Amino acid sequence: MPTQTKTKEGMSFSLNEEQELLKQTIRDFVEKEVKPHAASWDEKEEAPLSTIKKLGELGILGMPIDPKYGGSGLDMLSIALVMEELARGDGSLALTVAAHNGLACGHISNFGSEGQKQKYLPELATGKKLGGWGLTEPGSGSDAASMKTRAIKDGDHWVLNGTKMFITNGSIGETFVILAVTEPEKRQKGISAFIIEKEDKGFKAGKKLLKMGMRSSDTSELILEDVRIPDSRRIGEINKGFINTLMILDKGRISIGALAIGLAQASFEESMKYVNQRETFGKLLKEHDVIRFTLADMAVDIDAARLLIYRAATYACEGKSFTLEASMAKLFSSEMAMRVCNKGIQIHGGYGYIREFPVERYLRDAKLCDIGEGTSEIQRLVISRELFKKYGV
Amino acid sequence: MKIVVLVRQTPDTEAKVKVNSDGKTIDPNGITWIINPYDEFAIEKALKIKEQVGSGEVVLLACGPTRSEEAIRQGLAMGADRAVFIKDDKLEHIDPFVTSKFLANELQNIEHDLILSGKKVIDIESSQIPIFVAETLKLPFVTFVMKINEVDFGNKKITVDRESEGKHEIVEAKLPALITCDRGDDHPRYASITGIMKAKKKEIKEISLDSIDLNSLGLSKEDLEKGARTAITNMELPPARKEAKIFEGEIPEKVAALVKALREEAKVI
Repeated sequence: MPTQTKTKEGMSFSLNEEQELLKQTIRDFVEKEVKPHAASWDEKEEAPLSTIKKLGELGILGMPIDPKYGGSGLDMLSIALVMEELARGDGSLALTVAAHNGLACGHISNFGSEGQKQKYLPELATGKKLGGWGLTEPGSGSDAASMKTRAIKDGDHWVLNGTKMFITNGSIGETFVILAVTEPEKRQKGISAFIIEKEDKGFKAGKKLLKMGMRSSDTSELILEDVRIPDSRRIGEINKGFINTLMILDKGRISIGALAIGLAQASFEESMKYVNQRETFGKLLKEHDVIRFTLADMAVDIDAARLLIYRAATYACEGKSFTLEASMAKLFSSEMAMRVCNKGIQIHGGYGYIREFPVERYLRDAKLCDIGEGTSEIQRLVISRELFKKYGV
Repeated sequence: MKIVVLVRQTPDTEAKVKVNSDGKTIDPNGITWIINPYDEFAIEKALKIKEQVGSGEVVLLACGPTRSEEAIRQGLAMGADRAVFIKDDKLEHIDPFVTSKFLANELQNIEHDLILSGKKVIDIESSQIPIFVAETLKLPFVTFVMKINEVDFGNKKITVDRESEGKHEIVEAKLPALITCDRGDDHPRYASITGIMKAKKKEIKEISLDSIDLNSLGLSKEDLEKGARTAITNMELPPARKEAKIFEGEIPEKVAALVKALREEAKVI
């Protein structure tokens, strides 16, 4: 078992005053500016750029960035709280933020040079530019050893060629972190990271991908054809790109897990409202034991996931290793969201299956959490690997 | 240029209010507390003035139980510079008159060119406190102000738009003055994350109830418990609204039925 801080009072499960205020502020914003529009954004399958701009004004697009570069400098637990509240209003918007913040900004913040941080972080932190991050390809994802995108050194420049797939913010982003193979024979230890700007010659977003859920989060292919960039655009050491990526993904998993919790919470709250309105067999839904028990199961499931996420995030805040905890939390939260959102639809019956009610959207959105930033299978792989390491098996 | 904003905490507009068994107070269990929405408009107006002037200070002043600190922090996170908080849990049920005496007393220790407040508190729908404060301090006051047109700190005057019972008035007052604010065209800003982080470090000066000389304010200890000028004798929830009547059938039939009901049942036509 992980070591726990023991105090007379036991472990603390309370948020501090600042975190409460943060959660409340984001909740107010979401109630007024996000929730009322989420369904129409989903119908249009377009990212709500004006709302994304407002997120920038609030500091949500610079959450992990040091205030020195114009960011908010939030700890991982606070970021998780924001992600949950955003997703409670709109999963797609939360996903836009997750890819921008956790992946693009996170990679440059953690591994970029001082010059790169000064050049790119301020405009990302304020939302003047949106960021995207490209690891996945048509033929590879977590299996980075199969990556095809190549970066070849040419004097003090690099020339990149390849195609990236399923890239969040692909067509609306302006600053991208792209992973490319620099030494093929070293497999995943021969991958480096580069900053690519939207205007770079030979770089373009490919077709916009139409998805089952998270439909107002922009997803597209990225195409790199002889994109020539100076060596100053390389992030971190050569061949350390994928190794650094693993650290970025650990934090990203906490964000996606928190996002899943927000969706489940939204489904739960809608269900709570509905059971107080709808009558069947002469009584309100809430008066049927089967419905009450379903709601009880939903609440337990959500809370269990929340505790796992809070633990992983707290470990990250304390500077402890949290790979195992983040993977456990992400796996449980995303599968939990599928169970809970499914039950939310079931409680609504026929109304749950039509788009007039939001619960069907929550389930469509939740499915992404099972797949993005490491599928559930990858999480099980990471968890078992970490456990075998720990038990010396 | 110093602006003081009077701030109160009220139950959330969506809170399900329950009356305690004493029939005189609200059961605080399960209530989410928020900053009084009209006070939020006042803070927004104060911050806008400060931004336009380019310098100055916005000070929040509150009088209430410990929990009110959440509302103060929220105001600080929006951008107010510091706060003064007359804090005691015994202040939970004091009446508007006593509150105004405490606020007016403390305002003598805070430099101010302008005092803003919400036009009313949404819990008991009272508009009394700021007016009592202005009267106690012998300050000019303007109520229900939609918009602050101009503040001229140099010549010590303020021009505002107020609306009341269908009238629209433009009023000029001498500074220092007290203004009670309505929404107007303002949308109170959301606290930014940086604002929230900064709020933690901003000063909230606490004034204890024990440090206040009640006699000098013309108050007694009993006034704190029973209310000096007003006492709540009974509190009850409004009766449940009657169910709506829906007429069925084709439109001509429905109209006929509606007209009949309006004439014979509601007796309004």
